[in-house]
Amino acid sequence: MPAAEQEMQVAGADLQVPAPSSIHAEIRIRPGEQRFRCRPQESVLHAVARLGQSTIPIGCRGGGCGVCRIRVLRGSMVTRRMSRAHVSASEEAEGITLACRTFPLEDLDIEVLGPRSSGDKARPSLLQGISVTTPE
Amino acid sequence: MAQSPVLRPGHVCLRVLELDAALVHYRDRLGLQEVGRDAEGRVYLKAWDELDWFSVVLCEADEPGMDSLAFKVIDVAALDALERDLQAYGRTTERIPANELRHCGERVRFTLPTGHTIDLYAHKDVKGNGLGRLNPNPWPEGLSGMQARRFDHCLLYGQDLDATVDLLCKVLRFDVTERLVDGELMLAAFLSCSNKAHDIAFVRHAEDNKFHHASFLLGSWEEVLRAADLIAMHDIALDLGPTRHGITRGQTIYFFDPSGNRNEVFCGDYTWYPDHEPITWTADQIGRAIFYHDRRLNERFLGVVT
Repeated sequence: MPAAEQEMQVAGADLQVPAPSSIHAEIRIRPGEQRFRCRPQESVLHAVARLGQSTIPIGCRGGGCGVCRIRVLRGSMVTRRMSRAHVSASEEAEGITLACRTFPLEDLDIEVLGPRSSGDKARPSLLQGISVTTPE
Repeated sequence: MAQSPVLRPGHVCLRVLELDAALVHYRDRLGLQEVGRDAEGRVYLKAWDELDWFSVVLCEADEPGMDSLAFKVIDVAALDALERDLQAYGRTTERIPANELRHCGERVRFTLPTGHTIDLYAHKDVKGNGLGRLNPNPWPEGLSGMQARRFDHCLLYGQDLDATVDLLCKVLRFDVTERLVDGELMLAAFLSCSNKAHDIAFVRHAEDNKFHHASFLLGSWEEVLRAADLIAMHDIALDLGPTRHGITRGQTIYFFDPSGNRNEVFCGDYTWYPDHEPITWTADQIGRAIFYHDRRLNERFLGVVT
């Protein structure tokens, strides 16, 4: 992520993000053409949840659990602090981020990565072999 | 089973991404009271009806989650004996000096087979609940948010559930109050060192040292519903509820702090005694065991941890 965006990381209790308040960024999920719009100062994941979509897994929504990992392929954004257990500094430099902590500054192309440890190995025993779960 | 020398969960040390945002959550929303800060940047909080100085310690870090969970034991002799017993059982222990955590006495630290760091201590300074010990009123005025009464327990995730349960029962003299099994395999265990339905709980998971939630007690179902309103009012990330658990009968709601650490507020359980037979839930009743009303599994509740 360019240094300018790095400096715009927000700390503190204020949930407002210093992004232009008029931006309704369009998020395009690659591969494919699925799109949705973020409201001004809304995170990518918040838009997904608001629209009732299931394109990106919705977890803790606070940057801690890592299930909403995406890679931003094109476009700039501002991010808030996220767990380094799920996005390392070098991954962040490659455009990997958590959707719940990503606020678009313009239209974005993204790829959904999902949690870092994927597959049955990381699922708690209670979910092993359970294929039908509650839709969000 | 002999009475455990462990009295209760004493405190949980949580890592948060942003301390200011975390304080708004734990102090203003959960209603914990800030009781101090230290030179290392840690913030100490307590729930209003606890007497000891603190039950939650927050520190800012790059990764959220639980650093350690501490239990208070009855006295220094018991602490010394437990240290010897842990070593005889094969666990490595270390002593952490008094006042490393401000107002907390010397701690005996060890690691569970599931990878979690556990501290035991015999002394913590008394702060009080603001009501005094002489002809007190029933509650203090001016409480914030959900008005959590005490830090109640943690649910932890890790691999070797059987070895952890064995250690807690044999050495610390906890009892298994409830367990969730799939044939011979124990999937989850709930343990008590007191008259509560649980003081700690575990779910079997492929990764060690994971944290599912820290739980705080409320006074009634009405207070749980009020907490649900506060969660909506302040746009706190809701996980699930308000609902009831089959396991422990708790009436509960789950939500996330601003860093993604999960919290529970709940009321109601039953009185446990060491002469009681434990409760067993079978895998075919998992939905009902965890979500008694909905009776369906929820992937986020079960799968998301820090």
